[in-house]
Amino acid sequence: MTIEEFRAMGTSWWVQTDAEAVAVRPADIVERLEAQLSRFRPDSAVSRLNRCRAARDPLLAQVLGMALRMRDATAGAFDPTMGAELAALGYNRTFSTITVPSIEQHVVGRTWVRAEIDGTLVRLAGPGAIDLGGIGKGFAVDVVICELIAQGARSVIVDGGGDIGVAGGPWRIGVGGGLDIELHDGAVATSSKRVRRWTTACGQDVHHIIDPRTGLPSASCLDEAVVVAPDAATADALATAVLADPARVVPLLEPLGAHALVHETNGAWWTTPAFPFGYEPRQGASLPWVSP
Amino acid sequence: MTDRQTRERMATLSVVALSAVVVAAGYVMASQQAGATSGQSTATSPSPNVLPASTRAATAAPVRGLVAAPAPARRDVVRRSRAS
Repeated sequence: MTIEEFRAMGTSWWVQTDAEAVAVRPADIVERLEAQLSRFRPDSAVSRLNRCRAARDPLLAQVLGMALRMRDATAGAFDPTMGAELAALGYNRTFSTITVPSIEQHVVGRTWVRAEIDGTLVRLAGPGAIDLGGIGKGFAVDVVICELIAQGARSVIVDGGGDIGVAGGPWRIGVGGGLDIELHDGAVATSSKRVRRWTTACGQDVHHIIDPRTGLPSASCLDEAVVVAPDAATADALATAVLADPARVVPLLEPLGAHALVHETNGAWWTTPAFPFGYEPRQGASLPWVSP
Repeated sequence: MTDRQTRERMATLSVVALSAVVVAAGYVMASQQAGATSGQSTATSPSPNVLPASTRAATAAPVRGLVAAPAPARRDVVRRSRAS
């Protein structure tokens, strides 16, 4: 058994596998992904795209393509084109460095942008920006799992700052409300408005879950969402989408093989009817991509 | 009045007095029960079938399609999915 702990993507990671030794360390995998997908690194593919309005990068094209498909699957409740809105609210650098109010001007409404993908080439039209923060960490969890399985591991659990993916379970994982689930192959992710909060230059208390309809922090009646899905990228994106627009997204979960446990701001916990407290993945469900 | 008449008269008076005591006691008990019932009805919620508005709001799902989560299980877990 091997356990590796490290910090990446602004959070702590914990990886356990039954493999005695692995050729590629999970920390190196996540670092490589962060170097290309973070909008806080000036030399990343995402930053180049936002700055130059075009970038050719296979990893960027793949992850942005997944994110845009999730936007379609959630009727727009998850949207990777919210980079300008987050920056305008002051979330323009890695969260741990937001210690003083932003000097940015608060922007009301959406900043329009359209992303087009042609092979490995990505182009942007419009003044907005791309942010893969709602799916990038989950994607990295999935890549680490696939890499470790490719290296011979049969049992893997990857905890990327609370976004957890597993293979070869069962693994019992704690979720909100003192509840737990048993995952064999799949993922669980939790999003919350109670973390990653800061104060803008205007004195507003804001959080990082943006409602794409308004371009402003979501004012939904939920403040935490736990989503179980076949893979971590999907769980990550859906957890964000449920908080942004629960009335629209909750009915869409089951067709995606996903389930939600949510916390209402008045303190009550609710769940979709088939939330898998003893989760078994659907037949045929598997990590949908391997392209490190 | 003979001794026999005196005893019969005393017995009659005792019965009357005892009846009066019983009737009075019954009246007092009935009055106390009525008062208690009346006090209870003004001191508590009108009826279990009519919940205060705040309670009804707390039991209604915030989004259609959600059901109340079960009670916590408190079992050992390998990791916890933390909010991010």
